[in-house]
Amino acid sequence: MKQFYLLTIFILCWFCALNNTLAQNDPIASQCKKYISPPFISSGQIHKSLVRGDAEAEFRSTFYSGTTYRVVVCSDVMGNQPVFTLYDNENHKLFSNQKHNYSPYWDFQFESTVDCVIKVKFKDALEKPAYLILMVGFKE
Amino acid sequence: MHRKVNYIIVSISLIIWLTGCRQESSQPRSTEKIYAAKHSEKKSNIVLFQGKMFNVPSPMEASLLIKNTGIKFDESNLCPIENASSYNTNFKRAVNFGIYGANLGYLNIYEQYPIATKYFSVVKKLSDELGISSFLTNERLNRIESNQNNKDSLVYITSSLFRDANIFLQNNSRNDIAALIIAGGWLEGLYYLTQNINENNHQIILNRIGEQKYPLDNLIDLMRPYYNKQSDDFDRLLKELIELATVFDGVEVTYSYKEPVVYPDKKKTIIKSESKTIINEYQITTITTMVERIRNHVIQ
Repeated sequence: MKQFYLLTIFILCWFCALNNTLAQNDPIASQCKKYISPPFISSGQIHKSLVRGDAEAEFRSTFYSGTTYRVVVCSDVMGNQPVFTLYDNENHKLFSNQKHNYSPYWDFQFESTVDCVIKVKFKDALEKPAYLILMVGFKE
Repeated sequence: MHRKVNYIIVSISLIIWLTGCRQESSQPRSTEKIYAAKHSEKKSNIVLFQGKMFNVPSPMEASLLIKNTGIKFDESNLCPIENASSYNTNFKRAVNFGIYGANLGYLNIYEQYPIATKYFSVVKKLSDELGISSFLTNERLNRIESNQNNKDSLVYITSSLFRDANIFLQNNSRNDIAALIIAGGWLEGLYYLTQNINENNHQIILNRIGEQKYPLDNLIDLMRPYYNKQSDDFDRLLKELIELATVFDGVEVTYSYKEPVVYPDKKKTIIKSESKTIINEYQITTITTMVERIRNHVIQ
């Protein structure tokens, strides 16, 4: 009985440590952050989505005229790159990184303000669910 | 033998606890309580609503636009730092963390460093009270100090601080607080725009106000999952934003698609599509009044 309590304490401590470590050091976010460096300024937000199989995560944003934005997409799945595609509100495809060697980032200069949808998925269907992170930076 | 096993388990537990939970134990006691109470109340995983994520533009974009149109720095645009001592709920702390963050960005863009230092102290205080100050590391504080006269570096560092606060909150399942910080920042950015309309920049600022139509929809969608779950103040703010969105519904946006131009070597695409926003004087007046009312309520 005494050992059961001790084991419970051990598991609780381990969980506490794991939770804290995950909170402090998000490896996917760190990977994304390195692409948003000066002159780009972070939008101040990250977008994290758990993706299963061949499902897509959808991200909505307004991009202002006269501004250049950097879109970065990262995951921790080895050998299965994230694919991101930018559409306008009328579903015209504006860009896909699929044609550009699955580049994890791309810059977009907007001549007018455009409300967009970015759809993100993995190149190949996932066997296990995985996280995707999308970040946006901007410069004048 | 049993005694030895017990001793080993207790020792390993202590080591894990000391190394893994040291960050939290460095928080003030009162902050721990606030954090623990909120943490146990609200559990949600990611900023995701029915498989969709929503981005709300940074308030720094509004500050940059205002500066680029030639408007001079105006301290009356800022939220008074004295107000911070009266924020005693996580709702007030989070919204005003976003508002003061926008103020900090505005001050850095206008190179108002002595005032910016005071606002940074307020942001630090609120981050302590919200239990999110662990991203304000000594290394970061030193970087701020050593870049005190470098506008570009300070703007970059400030935006990174808010991004890391956002990461921290999401990883700790505190998306309601993250949404409130974003709401505060967006509201302050719109407040700057509505307070800085003049004859010289009229059309540029008016267009940018009208262009808040979709970001506001995104903000509402971001906050909606926490309706009736966070606090009465949260619900009131969401209702006021929905009311504001009904005015924005009348803003007309036209759009025509044009083929984008891709520069693969530069990893860059120029989006050539054209859009136009039509907003009338009545809508501007109503939006200005409503934004002022909502802001005054949250900063009190």
